[in-house]
Amino acid sequence: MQSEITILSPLGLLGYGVPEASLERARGEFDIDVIAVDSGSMDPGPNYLGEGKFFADENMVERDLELLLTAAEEEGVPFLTSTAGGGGSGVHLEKLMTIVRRVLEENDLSFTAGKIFTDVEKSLVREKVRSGDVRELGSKQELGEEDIDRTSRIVAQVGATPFIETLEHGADLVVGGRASDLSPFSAVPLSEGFDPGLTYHLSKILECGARATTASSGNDCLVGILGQDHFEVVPPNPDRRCTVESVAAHTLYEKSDPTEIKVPEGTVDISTAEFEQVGDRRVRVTGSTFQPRESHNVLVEGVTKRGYRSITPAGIRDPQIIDRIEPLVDRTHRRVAEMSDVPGDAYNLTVRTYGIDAVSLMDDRTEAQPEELGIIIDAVGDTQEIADTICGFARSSLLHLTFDGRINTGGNLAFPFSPSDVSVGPVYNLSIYHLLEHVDPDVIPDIQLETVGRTDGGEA
Amino acid sequence: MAQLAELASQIRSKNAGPMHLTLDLFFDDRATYERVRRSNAITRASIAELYGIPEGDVVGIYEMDRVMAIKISLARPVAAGDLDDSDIYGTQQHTPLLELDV
Repeated sequence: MQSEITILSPLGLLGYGVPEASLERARGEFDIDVIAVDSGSMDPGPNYLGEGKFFADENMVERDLELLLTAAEEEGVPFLTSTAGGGGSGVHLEKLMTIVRRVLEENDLSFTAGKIFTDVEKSLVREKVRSGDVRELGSKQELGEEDIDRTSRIVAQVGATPFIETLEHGADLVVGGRASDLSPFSAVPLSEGFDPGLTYHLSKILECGARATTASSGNDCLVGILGQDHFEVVPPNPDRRCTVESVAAHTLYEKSDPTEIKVPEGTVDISTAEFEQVGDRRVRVTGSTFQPRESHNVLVEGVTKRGYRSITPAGIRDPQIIDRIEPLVDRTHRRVAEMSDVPGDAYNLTVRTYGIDAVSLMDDRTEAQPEELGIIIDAVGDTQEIADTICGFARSSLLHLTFDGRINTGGNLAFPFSPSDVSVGPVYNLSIYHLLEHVDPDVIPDIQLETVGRTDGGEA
Repeated sequence: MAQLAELASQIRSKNAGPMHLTLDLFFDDRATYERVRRSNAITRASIAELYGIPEGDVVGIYEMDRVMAIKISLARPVAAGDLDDSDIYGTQQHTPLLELDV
């Protein structure tokens, strides 16, 4: 095996705008062996998975792919990505492949694409519930049959294993559905026998692009050089630096537990990692260790359509209204309930009051009276029509509600827009966010190969 | 006595997955870090009270000596994207810490 492997992470998310100058610098200064990038996340919420919509702008995804696939072919290196299209379902993966095919054809490039579908059948989840091999991950709820029944789409965060298998089938362009963010970065090194503890720890840093630098923004390149008993990270952009603090601090980012990294195949102990500054801009890491698990544990995400949303943003400056906004909102709820013929269980109405308590998740409220209040009337209904009706009726009610001693009889709300109400569309919830234990690594991933580009499309 | 906002160089809040919030406090110098660490101002009980949540929802408090940081992880009262969510990414949930006295 080679003594060293160099991995280029162009930025934190495909479609956020690969900086061309940094990409060129990376290619000029390093002997790149792999280009890998993360395509998605559950962070933006369940709507993208539910709707099969891309999270990043599709035009920007295409722009980034053009740059990266051209670079990969010219360098003669593989390109890997995970959680295609942001949500990582088969629908997302196919959409991304449409863009990939177009990019390859328009740029006269050719790759053997390996597609890894990671959609999960309900039958597998039901089987695991019955055998007791399901763990909740903070939802505090046991997974029940009804949750599985109402779920419309389920994907699994697979590990590096199917990515390695896809490479072994001869793919040099690997497009993964939902997967652990570490998978596209770790697959090639693991397949070549590099230490898993170091490989996964390096992958964890690389998946966020240049976030582990002092400038702490993910929208730039980061290069990882992995050796037998260490790895180093350095940003190709000369204006950025990796320091011991920036790299070590990054291990805290978006993680509940900073001492370990979990992948389906096992757990990495990063509490024993040692960080060393090498020159001004580069950091060397040693000491991360991997404990393999006998069978895979796989995090599955399932979404269900909760309804449809309509909103009305509005502003208030009148101190009389601000002073009694709570009772006015209560009266609005009651008026809607009493006068509308929509059944109470067909809608959910909230009036969010920005300036008092709309942002805090923990019922933290300000006691000071603001001079200006922002409100969003938020109606979610079983149909878009119900949501629109409830939202509109709440809006006209709150606008005209009167009270004793009211001075401004013109209207209680200032609308920025006409129409004042906005139909937002479908709303999804996470109905499944659980760990399936003892999963055979062959069960979920469906690997398909396809020759794409110059030699023309076709199933391989 | 000083407030955490005066002592910490960074106080940040973010989701760690859709079910958890993670709050990170970074300090610029070891003396300040040690002062906060030893003060016992940040415990499961004090954080639970500060945030008005059950102690069981404080899932972890970590002291990272090498980077002079303290991490506090909480269970989100609602999952990200649920109807009652008010902060999809969990970026604005750090504010109670700003005024925590040490």
